[in-house]
Amino acid sequence: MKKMKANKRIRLFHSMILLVALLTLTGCWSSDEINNLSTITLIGIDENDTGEVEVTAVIVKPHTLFAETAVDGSEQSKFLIETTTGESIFDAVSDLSSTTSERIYFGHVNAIVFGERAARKRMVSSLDFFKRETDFRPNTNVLVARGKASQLVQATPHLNVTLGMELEDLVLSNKYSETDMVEDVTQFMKDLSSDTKDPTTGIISSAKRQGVDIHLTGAKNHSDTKKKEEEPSTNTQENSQLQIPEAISLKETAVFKDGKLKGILDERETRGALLVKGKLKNEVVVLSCGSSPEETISLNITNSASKLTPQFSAGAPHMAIGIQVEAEIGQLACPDFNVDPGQIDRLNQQLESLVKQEVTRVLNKAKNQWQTDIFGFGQEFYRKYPKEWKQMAPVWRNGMLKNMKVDLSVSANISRHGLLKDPIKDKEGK
Amino acid sequence: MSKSLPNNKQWDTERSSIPQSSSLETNLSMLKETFDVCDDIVFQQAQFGNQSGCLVYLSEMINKETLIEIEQGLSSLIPQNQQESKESVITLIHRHYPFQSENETQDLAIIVKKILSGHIILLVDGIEQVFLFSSDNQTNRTWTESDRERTVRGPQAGFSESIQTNLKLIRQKIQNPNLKVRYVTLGKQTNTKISVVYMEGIADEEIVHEVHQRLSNIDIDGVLDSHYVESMIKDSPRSPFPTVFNTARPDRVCGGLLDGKVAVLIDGTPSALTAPAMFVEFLHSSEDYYDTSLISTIIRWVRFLGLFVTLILPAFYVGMIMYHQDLLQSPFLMRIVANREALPYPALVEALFMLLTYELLREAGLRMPKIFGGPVVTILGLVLIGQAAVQAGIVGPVMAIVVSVTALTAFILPNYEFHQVIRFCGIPLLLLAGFFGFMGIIVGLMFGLTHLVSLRSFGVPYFSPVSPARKEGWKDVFIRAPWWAMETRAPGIGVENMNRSGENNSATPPKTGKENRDEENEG
Repeated sequence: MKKMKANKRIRLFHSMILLVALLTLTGCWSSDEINNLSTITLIGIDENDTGEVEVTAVIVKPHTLFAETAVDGSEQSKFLIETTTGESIFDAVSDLSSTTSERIYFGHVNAIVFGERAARKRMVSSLDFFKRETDFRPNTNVLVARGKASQLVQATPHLNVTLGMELEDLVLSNKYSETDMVEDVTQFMKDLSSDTKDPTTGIISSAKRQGVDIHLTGAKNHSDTKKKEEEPSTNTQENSQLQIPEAISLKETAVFKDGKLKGILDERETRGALLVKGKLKNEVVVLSCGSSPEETISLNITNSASKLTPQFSAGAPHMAIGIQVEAEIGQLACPDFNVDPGQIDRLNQQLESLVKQEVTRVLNKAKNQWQTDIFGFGQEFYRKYPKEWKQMAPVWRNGMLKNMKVDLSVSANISRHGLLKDPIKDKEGK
Repeated sequence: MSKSLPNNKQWDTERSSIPQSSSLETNLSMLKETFDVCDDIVFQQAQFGNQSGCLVYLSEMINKETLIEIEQGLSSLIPQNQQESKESVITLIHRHYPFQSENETQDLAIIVKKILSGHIILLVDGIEQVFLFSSDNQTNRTWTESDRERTVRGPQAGFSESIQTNLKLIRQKIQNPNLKVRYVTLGKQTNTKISVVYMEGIADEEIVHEVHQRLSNIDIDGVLDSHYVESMIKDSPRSPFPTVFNTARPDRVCGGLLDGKVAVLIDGTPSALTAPAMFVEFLHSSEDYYDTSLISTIIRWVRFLGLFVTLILPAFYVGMIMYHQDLLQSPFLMRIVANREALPYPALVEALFMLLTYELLREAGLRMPKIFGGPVVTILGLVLIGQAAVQAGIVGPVMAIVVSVTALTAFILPNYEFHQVIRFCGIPLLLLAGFFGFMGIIVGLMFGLTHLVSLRSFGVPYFSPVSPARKEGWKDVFIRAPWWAMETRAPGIGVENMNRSGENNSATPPKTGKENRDEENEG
């Protein structure tokens, strides 16, 4: 009896030793110490003149990010910007890891920026990599850069820690600007592979190009850091003579067709497209209210809604678009303007005609000129007439969309005027 | 409610008074029947002359000095009054005890109440009246506060090391002859006095029997602390989790008794055991029952959170920075990476190092003579060493925060034994997280939960009333229902009498306020 008990104890002891050995002698599978990761915050994809893919990765140097944790205290560049080329993105990325001492980690990539050229040619094959690689988040933003992505990606972040986060915030914040056209990888892929909708996404460009001047205080200091920032890029990149933008703006919309960049909608067209989608919020429009050009009234479109009603008239598809716009007066520069129902009605009509104008413009461009279905008209038909859609689908983008008639009805409602009612009146003028 | 009790044997305080008989035998047998299974009641037969009398009292409730005085007085009465009539005995007693003989009564119900509140009763054969001597045990008023389980509101008294005092503290709170006390002696060498206390009619007889059975099976040479008994009567001796509740608060014990639990008091230990014990009970504090329902409920949830923080916070952090960096926010990730860039050890080693340091300091602080600072040294030491380790670049600052928070949060668990177990359960989980990431934590927690669910305490599932689900018990698990809504006792303990209170206990104030009444009067 006692012997059995002793045997049992020895067995238990042995199994304990085995367990400890098992746990300690084997590696920790898929374990990566957090400090052994080189975190990439932004990826730029370009195509160079020889037709190869150029991947620009912005790698964070965390110990330089936060002043109090800086290793040696001196001002250092906060990012390591590496550009590699290869026949495919995967090829280029593998080159990237050969020059980095730590594991390349894509888990915190905030945005993938495609250069214009890459967007026109390599969109589908690139997205394949981003969806296949397990590190990437499914909600990484896809953006298109005006010009080369590699330059935009090197801009210095001003309000956030990294440019990636700054871009992400830029996409999320939509006070007085339209950003709802941006799509993430998953949404983009979904639209790309669907036959009822075409993908769109936002375009980033240097702020200067969009007419926004950035003045940095302590210019000397800035040029210092800028110089330093440019150093790594001169090592890795040939076209360093090109300007690195000081700030980035997100304003336009890239329209895709058949997985390729088809065209770019400018700011006003983007506004029109958002109106059709019913997604326009916090957008400022300026109407004239007097004879002289200074006499303007600035309205803030607080909300908009749209209703797409697909119909068949005499066998041909036909789309009725109803748009409702809610607006408030943001600034009034007409001394003679009194906020009363009659004036507001007139203003409403003015706003309606402006909306109509803009929508017609974007429909002309996207629907008629490019024959892309960025508004999801096809989806509406598919939902309401699934049987008919089967016959429509093959010809949808080859003429049917272009020839489809659109009925546009707009109703605008200016409901608020802020804290001030009538404009401030000059005593003498009165 | 209590009038519809199924058990006729039970003493009902509201029962119509039974007139006292003049026969001593009848009276005593009635009292003995009432105080059946109360080992602490004393029937002290006395013979003075041809009169026979009996002193009845609860041994722990009375003042020994008063008893001796009465005894001496009675014995001095005897020789002088050989052939006295009834009336003269009464007058004699009156003359002899002008102040103490507080009251005379013929009502049995009052007599029982008086005995329970610490009076000495003198019954004399042939006399219908009963003499009551006030003898409150004043000396035991100097209770000690319970250091282990503190509350802001509510009774502050804690158990002392004398079983008599402890019994008195319980008897004072539950003045009912249904509170049964059974003495047992354990320990061949120490002969330690142990008493089993329960409420007849509320506690399950089977559980009472089971407790007695397990106690009588114990064969040990000495019992020096309640843990000796606890470890030998608990259901699964190998489980680290306590399945017998240990408390130093008489109010907690009384609460348990009213829920149908059985309490075991051990002489020489300032704590009592109650069984059966549920898992959730270890997360409840006495304070929960003394605060507003809403506040108690919130605090209970804070405590549940505290349980999880104590268990898995270090494991969670290690798992996150070794395996699941994707879950971090980008700025937080960069902060952590920046802080950890120059650290030599993996996060798991750091966590173990910090936890070990805390354990060392804690044990040193506990064993250290009080004059050196005790707990203050532990806390300060942890903070200072943590800070120094961060500055020296051995440990990351976030890790120092995580370990300090875990160490301090552990004290949120109100029961000390449970606190210890949960604290050490964190370490295997930490190792699992270090080797397998979150998967390890989940698997570890699953094993723990499986073990907990499989436990029983005196036949009652450890996780009841959550699993097996008894919805009527949830009012005192996830929330603490207001007292007017606590109509039934905790289910599952096997109580015979589920009704705790009446159904209309919440106040119904008059619809018209005072101001309206004034107007009416004026009108």
